[in-house]
Amino acid sequence: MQAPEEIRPGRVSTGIQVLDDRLGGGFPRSSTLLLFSDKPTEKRLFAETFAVQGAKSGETTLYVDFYRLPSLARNDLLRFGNFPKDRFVLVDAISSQLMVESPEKYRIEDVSSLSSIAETVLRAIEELRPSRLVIDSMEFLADRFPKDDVLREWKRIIEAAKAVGCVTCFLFINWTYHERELQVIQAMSDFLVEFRSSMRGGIIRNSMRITEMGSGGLKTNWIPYTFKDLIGVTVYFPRILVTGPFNAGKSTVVRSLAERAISIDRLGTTVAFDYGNVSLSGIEAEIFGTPGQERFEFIFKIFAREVSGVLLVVDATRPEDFERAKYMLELIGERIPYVVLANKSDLPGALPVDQVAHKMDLPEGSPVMPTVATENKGLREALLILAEMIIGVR
Amino acid sequence: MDCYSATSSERPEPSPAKKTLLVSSFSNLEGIGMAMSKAAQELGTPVRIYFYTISALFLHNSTQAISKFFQIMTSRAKMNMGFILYAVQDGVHEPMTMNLLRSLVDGVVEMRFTETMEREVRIHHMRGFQVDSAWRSFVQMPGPTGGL
Repeated sequence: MQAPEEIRPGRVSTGIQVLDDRLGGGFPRSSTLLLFSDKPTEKRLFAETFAVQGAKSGETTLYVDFYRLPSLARNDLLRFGNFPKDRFVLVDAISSQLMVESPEKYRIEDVSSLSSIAETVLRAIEELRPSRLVIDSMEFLADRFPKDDVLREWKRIIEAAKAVGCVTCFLFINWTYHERELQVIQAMSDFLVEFRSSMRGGIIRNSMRITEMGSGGLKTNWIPYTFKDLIGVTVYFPRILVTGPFNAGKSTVVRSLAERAISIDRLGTTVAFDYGNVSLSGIEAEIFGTPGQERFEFIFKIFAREVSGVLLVVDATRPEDFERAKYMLELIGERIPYVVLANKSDLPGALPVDQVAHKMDLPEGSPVMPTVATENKGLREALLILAEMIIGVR
Repeated sequence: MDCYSATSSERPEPSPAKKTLLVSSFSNLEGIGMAMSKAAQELGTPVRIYFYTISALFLHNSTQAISKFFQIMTSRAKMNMGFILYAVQDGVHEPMTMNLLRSLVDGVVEMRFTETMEREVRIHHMRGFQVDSAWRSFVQMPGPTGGL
């Protein structure tokens, strides 16, 4: 077994860069995360990503699993790629339930005893001094033991973890507790990470929202996410619209941003749509380019439904097209985040971004980025700004 | 969806012809719920879901937890997945639990053995329909076409 770690100052990466940037590098050490939902979700993916990310960075991670045999848990984690196995320590709470031998050093012999469960977890924390701790899941205890006892042991684990500088994730789906107990649990947590899963058109959509407890802390919007093999949880935007007037450079924007792109066009003019998949700073996005001509407005309206955000491409040398661009924004709706790309900004006569904003009569603070799509200049920066706006961290 | 193998520490051999989603434990209601959604996504909606059996969950979870799970999954199935049929063993649950489960579904079909071990079925109720709730005999047809 590895040597216990010293308490290290600083932050613990979430594994999602765009969040880490906003959190100053990740969650602060000695903090407690409540991974919560009141319906079934895929919150375990977030916890597993968080745990494996720790092991990959060489941090000791302790994972308390009430549901999976160690062999099953370790097998599930293969999806996240290679990580040092000695940095990932399981507390086995199920072998004794199934009356099978446990290969783990830390195993709960009697799951019918809350104190036995708590003592095993506390001993592992004290001996290993982990950097990350995941308890999967608290509803196992909430469904079996008196509420006051569970809350007491919950608090003890938080205190022990904080004392060694550990960031703790408590997974919890609420089957049995009332609002009063939920408030107590939230008050014991430093961050509330809420999850939801819904099914639309036969496709599961996952999203999460992070709230730093206390006033003035971080509060994100609902962040859509997906699972990516060998990486884990990735922020996922299923539809980013690239739109704008005719010949502004939309197809070039899609092709430059995307690793793979397709275009349905005629003589170089998009007549149906452009499509590309982008992977950038822990973000995965499907981008759709629309035709700019008015006669294709019906296609634009189809793609404008349920968009996460908009990259509005305008030709910075053609202010006469700005009115059309503004109209397209209005069609999408004012609540959808957007970034204006002042494209072809390298050409003579291109307006600077402040003049583009002024001539388009955009609200103050609307982001306008100078871009040269043909040279892939400014595009990724624009997409990152849009991502931060959608997530609500900008 | 296999909720059994993992808890019996058996690992079924993956078969290319048969897609199986493994759930770690009967206690893992969230895992069961998400596996149902994933299966529906993979098969393409609408799907018919047969849940065999709700009774098994009562050995591992509280009635309160199962009731909420049952309510949420029934609603998800009806809204987004298609049709769901739950099997419940009679005689092992409190009458109040059975009444609660009955109240959360659109219809109840009851099956029983007579004293001479013949099979009988009846529709107890079905939302939106007037039903004749008399018991009817039925037999299980042998052969590849099967049926009742």
